[in-house]
Amino acid sequence: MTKQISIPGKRSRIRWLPQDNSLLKYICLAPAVIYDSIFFLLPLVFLVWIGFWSVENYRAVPGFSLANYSDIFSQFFVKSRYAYAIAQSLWVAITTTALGILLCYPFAMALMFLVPERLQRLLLVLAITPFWTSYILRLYAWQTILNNNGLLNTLLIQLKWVEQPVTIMFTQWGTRIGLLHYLAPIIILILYLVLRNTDRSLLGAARNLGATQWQTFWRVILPLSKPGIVYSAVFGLIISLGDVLSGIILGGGTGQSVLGKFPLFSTVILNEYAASTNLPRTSALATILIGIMMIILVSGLKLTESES
Amino acid sequence: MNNQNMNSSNGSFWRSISRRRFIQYTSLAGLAAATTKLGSCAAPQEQSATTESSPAASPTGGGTLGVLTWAGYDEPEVIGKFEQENGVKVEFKTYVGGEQMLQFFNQSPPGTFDGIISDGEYVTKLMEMGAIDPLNTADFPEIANFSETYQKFPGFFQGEQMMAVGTRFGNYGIAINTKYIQPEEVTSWNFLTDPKLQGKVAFFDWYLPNMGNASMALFPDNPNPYALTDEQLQQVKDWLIKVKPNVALITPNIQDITNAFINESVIAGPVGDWLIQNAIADGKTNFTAIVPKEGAIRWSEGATLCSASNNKELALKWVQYMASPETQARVANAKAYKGIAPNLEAQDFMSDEEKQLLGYVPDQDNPDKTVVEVQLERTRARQLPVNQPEQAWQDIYNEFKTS
Repeated sequence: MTKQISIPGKRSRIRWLPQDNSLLKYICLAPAVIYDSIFFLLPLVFLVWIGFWSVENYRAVPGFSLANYSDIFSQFFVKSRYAYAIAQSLWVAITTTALGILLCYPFAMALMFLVPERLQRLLLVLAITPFWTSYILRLYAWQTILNNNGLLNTLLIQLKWVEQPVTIMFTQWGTRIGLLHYLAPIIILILYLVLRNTDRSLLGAARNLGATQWQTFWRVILPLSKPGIVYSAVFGLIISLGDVLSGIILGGGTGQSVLGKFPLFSTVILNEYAASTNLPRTSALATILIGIMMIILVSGLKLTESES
Repeated sequence: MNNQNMNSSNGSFWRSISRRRFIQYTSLAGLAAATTKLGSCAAPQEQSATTESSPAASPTGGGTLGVLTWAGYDEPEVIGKFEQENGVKVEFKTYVGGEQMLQFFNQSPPGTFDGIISDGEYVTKLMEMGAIDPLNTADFPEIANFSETYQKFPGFFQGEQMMAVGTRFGNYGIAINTKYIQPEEVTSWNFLTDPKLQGKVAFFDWYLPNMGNASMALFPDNPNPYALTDEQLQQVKDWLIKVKPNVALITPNIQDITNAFINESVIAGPVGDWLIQNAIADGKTNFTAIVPKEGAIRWSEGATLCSASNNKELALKWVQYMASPETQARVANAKAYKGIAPNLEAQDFMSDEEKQLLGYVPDQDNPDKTVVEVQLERTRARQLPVNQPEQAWQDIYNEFKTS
């Protein structure tokens, strides 16, 4: 049933594993495959499939038609102007992810290198605690902070730092804040795990060779944590692109950014469904968004593969 | 994986997993989570729009009645008496927007719903689908007490045949926060294009009322704001796009708009009084709503009887119950959102505070009329597009949102 594996040129670390075609291997893999098939693959295939259906008398009718896609692509730059919403989504997702990594990287570094080992797990749990609370409640909590008469503006006015309330609510900055709160625990966890796997002897070697702290960081730690940064970016981009709540509750559904006052693409999808209840067309729009996410994911995987 | 493999060289489980492998697996899981999130995009809205008991899950019969409705009709203050008097349980499924109502109805097995609260313009659609039965005016003596407009409201009649009974109405005038805007400033719809409102306006996210109001702003003499030429429709689009820089919030969520007014993140919006009256009732007396000189769009809800009902006798009783003044008084003052009762005797069942809030008091400019009566005169019923397909109007509305 099992065999010993020896890797040429290396001392074998994995001694016992199921044989390639053993039944045990398939039994062990089965739960994961079944779970992913039922809760991920099947709904995804169904979503893509519905995109080819049509609507008759407010009812989705199975079939195969490219009408939804041709209509959507014909409105990419006119009428519904989906390209503008996709551009807004990408802009918000990219800037949010970049901010997330910039803010979370120092936190993960401090956790790894400044906090004693026995406290690291406790602090890590505290850092990801927000993840266990309802996302929608967190967004409404942010409303009470960011509103024109909210906590932040009241404080700024009391301190006489501003005379008029700073408008954050119903802008894409509001959207970003909501997304950052959602993403931070994920990014911190990924970066912490990557930094924890850094070979400490390399840091010692760098210091022995006379590297300053900055040089050790720039030439040893940062390159070694590059895969973590890439995967944090992939996570951040995919989650930001798919999120609809922050864009509506804090972004106002049509928040202002440097690109203009456009909704996010996810908001457009939700609104289209609400306005027309045209499930096939909405599925086609969602499939386009998933296609963009897949491109990001594959690019991320390729990038880390080339790194390794 | 055996213990030996779990306890790798440094004795840590974490370190035994290749970080790239770990991240690859977790990123795939992340994509799954993100797509699941996307797949459930509509969930928050649908969840918020659906009561706990879904008649779709249990076709009615016996002691239950299934009703598809806007929010408010399911509140105990409204339906409790009917349930008690008839010893039945009414199961509600609530919706937001006529399109969603039609979708819920069409996707449910026949007999799921015994009654529907529908907007006037969608009663015709329900009738064309054969979804609702005609109603006999003789069964509704209360209609004699209705305001003239709703005694024979075109949206609820097919020719001479009554198809629905009016239950509640309201308008989409301009709601304002008087702390920042004086009512005297709001005389015309063009007020919404004022640059001082930049980023301070909220919209209820539905193409019909917003485009109808834009149509009234531009063509106040047009008897039907929804009967536009293609050229006029283009002007409606241009007008909406002119307002867009002032728009901060576009949402179909009523509570989000109310909150935005309370939090002063917005100070105006073509959302009518029904959306801010809950806040006024809670003491925010600096909110008010004004119907501009060009008029405004009016919404009208009515009760209908489903053709496929398994319990038509009880369903008819429910429609009759909805026409009664006491029920309409409670519906008008529902917690979900407020409205005005077509039955004029409903005010006999309202407290003075309720009358003040809902407008059953003399109008300041026309003391011989109530605010309700003046609003009825100055508003026009929301309808469906007459000369273009609905999709053409929706596309224009989408363009406004992405402009």
